[in-house]
Amino acid sequence: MSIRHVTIFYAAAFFLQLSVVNLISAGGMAPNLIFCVTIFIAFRFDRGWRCFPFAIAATLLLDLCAGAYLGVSSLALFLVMIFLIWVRYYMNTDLLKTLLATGAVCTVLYWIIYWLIQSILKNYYSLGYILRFQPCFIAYNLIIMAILWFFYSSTFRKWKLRGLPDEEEES
Amino acid sequence: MKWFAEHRLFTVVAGIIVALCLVIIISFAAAGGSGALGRGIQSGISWIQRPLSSFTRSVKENVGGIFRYKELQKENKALQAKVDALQEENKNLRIKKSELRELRSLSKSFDFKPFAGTSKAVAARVIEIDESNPYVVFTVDAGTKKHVKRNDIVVNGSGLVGRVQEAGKNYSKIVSILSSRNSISFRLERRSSVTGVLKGSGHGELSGYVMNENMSVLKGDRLITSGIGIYPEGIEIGTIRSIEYDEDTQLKVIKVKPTVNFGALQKVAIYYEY
Repeated sequence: MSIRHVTIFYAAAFFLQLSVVNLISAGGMAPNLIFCVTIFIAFRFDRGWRCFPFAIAATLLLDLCAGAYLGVSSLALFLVMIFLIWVRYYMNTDLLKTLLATGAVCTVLYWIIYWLIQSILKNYYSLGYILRFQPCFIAYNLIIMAILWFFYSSTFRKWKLRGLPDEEEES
Repeated sequence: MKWFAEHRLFTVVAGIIVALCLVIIISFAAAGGSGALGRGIQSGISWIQRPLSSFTRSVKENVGGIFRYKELQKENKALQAKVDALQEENKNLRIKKSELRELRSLSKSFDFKPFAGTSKAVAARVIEIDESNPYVVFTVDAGTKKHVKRNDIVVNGSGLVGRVQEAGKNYSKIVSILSSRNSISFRLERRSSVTGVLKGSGHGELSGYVMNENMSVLKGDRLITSGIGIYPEGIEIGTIRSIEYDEDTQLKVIKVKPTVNFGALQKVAIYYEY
């Protein structure tokens, strides 16, 4: 995936997160598009770690617009990305199943780290309260990741059919 | 330093974590404030976000409406019933408002000096109007039970209305000053020596003549009862609308617009002697 496409993905995810995601929210729970895009890119592509600056910038902006403190989502996402980069070496990254399983684990891990940072910043709410909503968050995020997977797969197939060079090799 | 160069990956990761922690600490110390730069970035982002949000909202409302059709129908029905009830209440309040205005105007007529000490007043509501002679003859809901009798004087807050032609137990028939059968002796308010007689012209106004043609009368002059006849002195009748000189009778013929608005007459006061 080229730097240009990554930029478009993150820009779209950022603006959609602040506006359109409210359309599909249920009881205040909604998918985290920036998180989903980051997990997808970092998991699917060998050099997917190059999306980290975009992810950190996007989450910083998100915290600026919608968060209590700056940097909380960024730190939580960065720590999850480090875990993901380590775990993906032991996984088959060509299968959707492994992406979804990793995505589910990363979602829970993200929220636990987020809760921990908020607790340090004296924004207390119980871990049980966070974990109660995890099935919903996981379901939402996995749906988005699956959509990204199928979108990328069909686009990639079209590129191959047209005889165009592999985008990953190019980037 | 050599160690950091050899362990570059660890250095970068640790550096990023430390930088993010610093950002969090600064943000926490500033109680969540983002500073001038942050505010500038936010306003730039919200400029792009605003049309997206309004688009989202309209889609949500329209799409949501499709799925909530039955619920919206029910709500609509309930709101329609409420609107009807409120409209009815509003209408009643408007009526009450105009009644209040009338009552306020009528209350003035209860302090008429011409009747002071000799008569008492009873309020009455117009309940029937003669369709062939609107406001020339009409019926009110006060009668002999309230001491009303024939030839009692009828007024309202604006001035002279007429007299009682006939009184039943709970009603009275009033013949107004617009009737040609009702002659009223008048004088000029500004000059008591100028007198005359008025009666209804049949066109919703009064016409009459001034006794002494040498006396000057002007358009706009106010006329009051002179005290000659059944009407006591000092009750306002109307204002002169036009003046003509009649060659045959050699009298000044005047046309008078009554002060009482007969078209809006709802309540009157009837003065009876006690």
